[in-house]
Amino acid sequence: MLIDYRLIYSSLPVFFNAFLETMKIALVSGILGLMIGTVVATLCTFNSKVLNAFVGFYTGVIRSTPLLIQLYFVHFGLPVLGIMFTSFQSATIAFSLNSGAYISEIVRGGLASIDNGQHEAAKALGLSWYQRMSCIILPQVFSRVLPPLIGQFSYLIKDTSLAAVLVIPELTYASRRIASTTYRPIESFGIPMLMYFALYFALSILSNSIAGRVKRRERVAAN
Amino acid sequence: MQQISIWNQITRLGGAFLQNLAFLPFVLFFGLILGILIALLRFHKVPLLSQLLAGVTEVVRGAPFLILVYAVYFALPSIGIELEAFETGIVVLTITATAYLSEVFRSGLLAIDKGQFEAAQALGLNYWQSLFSIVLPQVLKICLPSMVGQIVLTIKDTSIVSLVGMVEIVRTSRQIMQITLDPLVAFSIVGGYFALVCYPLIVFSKRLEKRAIR
Repeated sequence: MLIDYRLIYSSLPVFFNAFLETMKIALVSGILGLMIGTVVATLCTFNSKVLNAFVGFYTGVIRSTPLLIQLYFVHFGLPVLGIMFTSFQSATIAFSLNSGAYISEIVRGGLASIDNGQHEAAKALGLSWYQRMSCIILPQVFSRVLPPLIGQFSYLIKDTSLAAVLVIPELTYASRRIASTTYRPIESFGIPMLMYFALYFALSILSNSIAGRVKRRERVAAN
Repeated sequence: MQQISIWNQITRLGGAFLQNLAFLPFVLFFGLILGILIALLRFHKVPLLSQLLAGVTEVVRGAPFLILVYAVYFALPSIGIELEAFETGIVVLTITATAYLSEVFRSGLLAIDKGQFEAAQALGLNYWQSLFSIVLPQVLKICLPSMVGQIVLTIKDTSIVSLVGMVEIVRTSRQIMQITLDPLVAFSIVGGYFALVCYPLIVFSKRLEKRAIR
């Protein structure tokens, strides 16, 4: 028989723990990335040359270099300067800086799509800059950019597979280890791929249904 | 601990970077042809085949690149297919690029008015003539920004093939690190090489996108 079901059954607990580890890395980096992305996108609204240059440099560097070298840079490069991280810390730092750059582009697009009248109306009501941003502008931005943000999160889940390089026991690392101890690579790589696919599929359904709702709501609002 | 001069590192890493770029012609060639083919099969809703291809495309898009590399490199030998690291890279990069490009081309085909096919056929062109001289040029023009974006993704993903033993720029930088114990310089040079190629492409793709909107 090509597929060994007993092996699948006995390795499921390991894969399940690895799955939780993958989710942990993805959630921590996703939340940090969202914060970084929001702050960076907000910096662009000041129209300051220095800030824009900084943002351009940050997003440019992150987007035009591979994640693997960013991960190496944080984990093996920074210790030369005396900054040490554990594997988990390095992975989450690299992943959140990486996804932060992409999220900032998404949020920036969302900020640009908000009508200027919203800013002016909020200002006329006497709200401070912080109140305007946190209560009026950003909630509208997030409800509009939620679908691409979910898409970005599903990329992030896939990117966490690189944490295997730093010997973090997440899905890809577990699959590699089980493949080399059992000599059954088909099952060992098949199970995690199904798990990744389930996540990807669930997120893409979620993103589509939210996108549909956003579109409907805006159509209603336009009428 | 030994010193390697910065100039020496730059030339060594530059030579290794050519290995990364060597993937591109293969991946672009096969990715383009297979991507268009799959997009057409799915666009015309060829029974069975289009559902199958839709499923495979989704599975590929849902899987991390690294696990695909591992699966091809470590699992295929058990069914008698042994590939070297470079061949593994070509196969996996082509598969992922095809999956993305086929989606891009399919949405391009959907964006083009069906009337274009009908008008071309009304003029007496057969299917292939109307496809190659009327429809595909328009599709490719719409899809150009996404195609450039895919090239950037492919270039960046070549770094991951180093993890199954391919000697390219990232692996070379780690070898340098083991000699000098100072990876900051080597990693920065690696990032510089990637940025040198990818950043202009990203800017170019954005400019194309803006022009398409206007």
